[in-house]
Amino acid sequence: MGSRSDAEFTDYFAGRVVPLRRFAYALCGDWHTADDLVQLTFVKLYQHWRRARPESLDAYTRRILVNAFLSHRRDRRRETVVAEPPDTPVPQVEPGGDTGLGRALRALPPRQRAVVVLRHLEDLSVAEVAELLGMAEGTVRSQTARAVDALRRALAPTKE
Amino acid sequence: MDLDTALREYTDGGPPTRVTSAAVLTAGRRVRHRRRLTVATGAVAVLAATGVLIANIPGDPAPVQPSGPGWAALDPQPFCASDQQADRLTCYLQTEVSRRLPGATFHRRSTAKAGPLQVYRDGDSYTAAALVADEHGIGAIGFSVTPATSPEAIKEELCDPPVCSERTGPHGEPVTVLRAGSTRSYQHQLVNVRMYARGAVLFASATNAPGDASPPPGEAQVLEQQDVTRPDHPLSVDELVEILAGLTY
Repeated sequence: MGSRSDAEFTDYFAGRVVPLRRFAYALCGDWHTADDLVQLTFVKLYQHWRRARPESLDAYTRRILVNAFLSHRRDRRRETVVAEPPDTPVPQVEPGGDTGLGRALRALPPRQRAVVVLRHLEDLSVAEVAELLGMAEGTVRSQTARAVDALRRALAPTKE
Repeated sequence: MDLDTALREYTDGGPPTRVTSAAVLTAGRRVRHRRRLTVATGAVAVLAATGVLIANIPGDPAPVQPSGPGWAALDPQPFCASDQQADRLTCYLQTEVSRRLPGATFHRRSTAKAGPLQVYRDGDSYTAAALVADEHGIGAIGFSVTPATSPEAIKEELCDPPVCSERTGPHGEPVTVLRAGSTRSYQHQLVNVRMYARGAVLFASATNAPGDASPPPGEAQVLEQQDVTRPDHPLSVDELVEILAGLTY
């Protein structure tokens, strides 16, 4: 990869790092993990930079990030199984992360969370989400409906 | 508040990012450097294994020949007598491959659930694989048939010429060809051919770097990390297309 391609990569990075970080945060609910996911995504993208097609670059980048998120979830699940529980639980509270929406997002299964974030934050169509996640379009619709229902309940004002 | 707005507000702000393009480029170059080192180490290992012969014979290295039991010519006849779908596919594949590789011997791949080029069910698919040895050395081939509803199923993602190309089979079937590695003799070569025909994706693969070991869970087998054991893949793209075009199921 020559310096010209590196310059193009840097330009792409500059244009996409903020929206990708928001996307990653919506998936994982933790800014530090979001940074890790974004860094991993761009490093992987760099490996394929020469072959990546410009017209599908954003879709490709999103796919890397979603796969990194889902793999990260699997790794964490494995860690949880073998790890000793801490003596004193220390909740990790992030700015904005402990809102009703944040809690409701984190309560969704990871793939369902990815579906609703792709549809409602990234504004992807049902077909685009289906292709990105390797799901049937009908599954995307039903997963979106369930997730939206759960999130709307979380957003609804509570009656005192 | 609607959900789109709520999600945007939820993802607004946060602490300043730790990710910089410089850090990404440094990490990306480090990964690329490690991969090159791995390829170089593999090449050194192949040279170490064949070095004496290379020193004695000008030109290409001597072919790697099979050792140990389990290598034999294919005998499709018992499968041809059966009316089971998998056996009929085995009969066809073993007959067609043997015809194109006269004198070759075959061995079961350690990752396969059946003998060399013996077709078995794997989920929705029928699949078969084998190591193949002839006077040129050892390679690997594999085939599968998977139901599919659309020719789009054979499209390779993010794959441009010359790595990926499209063509048609002898009866106009859409075909995609992916070539990984090099086109040079005794360098890593792998070809994947996908054909859409009769409501299924027909897949064939051939390589000169068989690497007959299962990768660790969750990790892909990396072509460049396998030993090259013959100058090129054992069946050409044209032969793989011909074989796929004749598959009936």
